[in-house]
Amino acid sequence: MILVNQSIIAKTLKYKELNTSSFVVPNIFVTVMAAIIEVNQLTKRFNEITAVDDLSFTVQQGDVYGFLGQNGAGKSTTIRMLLGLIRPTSGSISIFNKDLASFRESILRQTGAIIEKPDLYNYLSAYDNVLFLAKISAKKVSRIQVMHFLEMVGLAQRSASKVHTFSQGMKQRLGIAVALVHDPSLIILDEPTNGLDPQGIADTRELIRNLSYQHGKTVLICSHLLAEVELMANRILIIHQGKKIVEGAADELLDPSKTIVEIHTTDNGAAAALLQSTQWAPYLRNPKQGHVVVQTDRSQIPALIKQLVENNIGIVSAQPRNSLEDYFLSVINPDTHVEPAAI
Amino acid sequence: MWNLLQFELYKTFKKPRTYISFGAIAAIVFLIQIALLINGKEYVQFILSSVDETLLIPYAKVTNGYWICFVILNLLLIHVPILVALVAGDIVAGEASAGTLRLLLTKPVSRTSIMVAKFLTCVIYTLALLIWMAFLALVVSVLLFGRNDLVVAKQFELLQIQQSDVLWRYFAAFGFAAVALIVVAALSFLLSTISSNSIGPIVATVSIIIVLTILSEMHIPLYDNTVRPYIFTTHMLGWKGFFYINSSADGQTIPGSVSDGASIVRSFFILLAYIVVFAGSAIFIFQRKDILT
Repeated sequence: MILVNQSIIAKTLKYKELNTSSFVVPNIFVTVMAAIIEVNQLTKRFNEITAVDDLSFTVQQGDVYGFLGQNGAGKSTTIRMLLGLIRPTSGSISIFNKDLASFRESILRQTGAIIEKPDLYNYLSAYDNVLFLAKISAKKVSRIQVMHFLEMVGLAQRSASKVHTFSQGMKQRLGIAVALVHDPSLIILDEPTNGLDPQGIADTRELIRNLSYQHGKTVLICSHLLAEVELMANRILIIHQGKKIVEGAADELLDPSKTIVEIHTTDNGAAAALLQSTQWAPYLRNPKQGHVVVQTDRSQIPALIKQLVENNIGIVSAQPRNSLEDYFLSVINPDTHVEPAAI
Repeated sequence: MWNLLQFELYKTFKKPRTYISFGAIAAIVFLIQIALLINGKEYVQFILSSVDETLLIPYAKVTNGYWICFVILNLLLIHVPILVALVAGDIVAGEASAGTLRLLLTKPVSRTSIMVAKFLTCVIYTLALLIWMAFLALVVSVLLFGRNDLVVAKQFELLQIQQSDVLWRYFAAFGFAAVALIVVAALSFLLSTISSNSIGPIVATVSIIIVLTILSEMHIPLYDNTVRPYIFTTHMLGWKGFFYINSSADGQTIPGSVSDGASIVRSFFILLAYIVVFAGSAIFIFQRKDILT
């Protein structure tokens, strides 16, 4: 399937700046993108439990695709189905335009993955782990190439050490090297920053961005660190209880023109009554006890505060919220969070 | 496929637990050899006390390297299955519990290839164990005790095999024992495929062998015609058949002869069938298994 994906134009331009050999149609600002992953009506049942329920989504070439959901939402089951570890009860998965059930090996030749945590062969050295797992991926690698990947994740000095002597963060980094060593086009990362220290998280984030922007890789990333996903992903899918809640471009979902502002005032009742009688009335959202909630363009916040102050209502705090975490919580728990803007 | 097999072998022989079996066999064989070197005559007198008047060669010559190898095989081949299960029972389940199975399955190799490589690794490990045992039991015993005619007991009868007629029987017996032990490896491999931790398959294999061995040895009429002929433990000791030699009318053993070759061949094919069924079932189950660990 060939699609025109406007949302990644900016990234494609950045890629163009970094890599002059890349192909970008000049003056048109539209890039033709192919779907890398197409999931259609995917369902997985374990006896009475439906872990994934009629899930459909598409990941385009070059996407950094954030796959989000609470624990038990069905993320890991979906990822395992994408890698052929679990057989779907129904539905289909197509990767690189090939049916996964029929072309699993060919697809996996172009796919690198970390699932949940990087369980590696603890009794082998870091070097052996990378070397042998590259070999069985039908990739001939030299010692220099193996060391290059270990260098990339900061483990070259420990290449001869047994993995059981590594910290969780080091294992995570080695897992990334193992996932990348056969030069895959698609990278599936389930909680890639688990166990990493702040510097490790920042390095991994940079690595993932580089893989996408500089090397044109498609990345599907699943993480509970929503702020991290927000910094990396250009498209987001949120699932809940196995079902798709929302899918879309990150910049559309987190539209600054639909910023939610929580305002704590010296008299919330008077503030709400005032706003209800002014031009702000359409922007008021399910006020919660203790503060007033308005959804508006971020640039309008000073005017809103000014109007309240001019009417002798003191402002204790004004908290604009349009982070991915807020958005995520608002779609997962719509009853306890203010309504999100229409998508 | 070669890369996979190479990786499986590398992993197996990098694990310290793999060498427990080799160490255990060496310890047992050396203990037996030392004991027989010091008290060989008393031991022979004890086990042949009821028939010693029929013995045609002196005690000192009975306790030669060939005879000591025969004693060791009798004692050890019953227990080696436990050692085989240590590795074969862990080869799939151990990776499932460690989480490396899913790592392996995200690589572009078919599940069948992974299972074939793992089973071949079990076979190679079993053969290595047997070769190690053959080296210690046969080669070292012959070096320590020398060679002579081999005297073996068959129920209430003593058979004396000329020393020039012995070596090929050992090669055949070790070959047969290899097939018998590969059945154990295949059973353990199958149980390893079903389980998600390695202790279960090892314990289950040993338990099954113990129960079936008791059934094979009990000679109870209820089981004799219904169960006994079909269970693999009945056929695992078929290697002894190579040492049951025919005798002529004047009581002389006939070199190169085997008294019940047909029985050995039948047992051999029954064991082969068990290998195919166990290993085939393991591959079939693994093909359809959801990897949840």
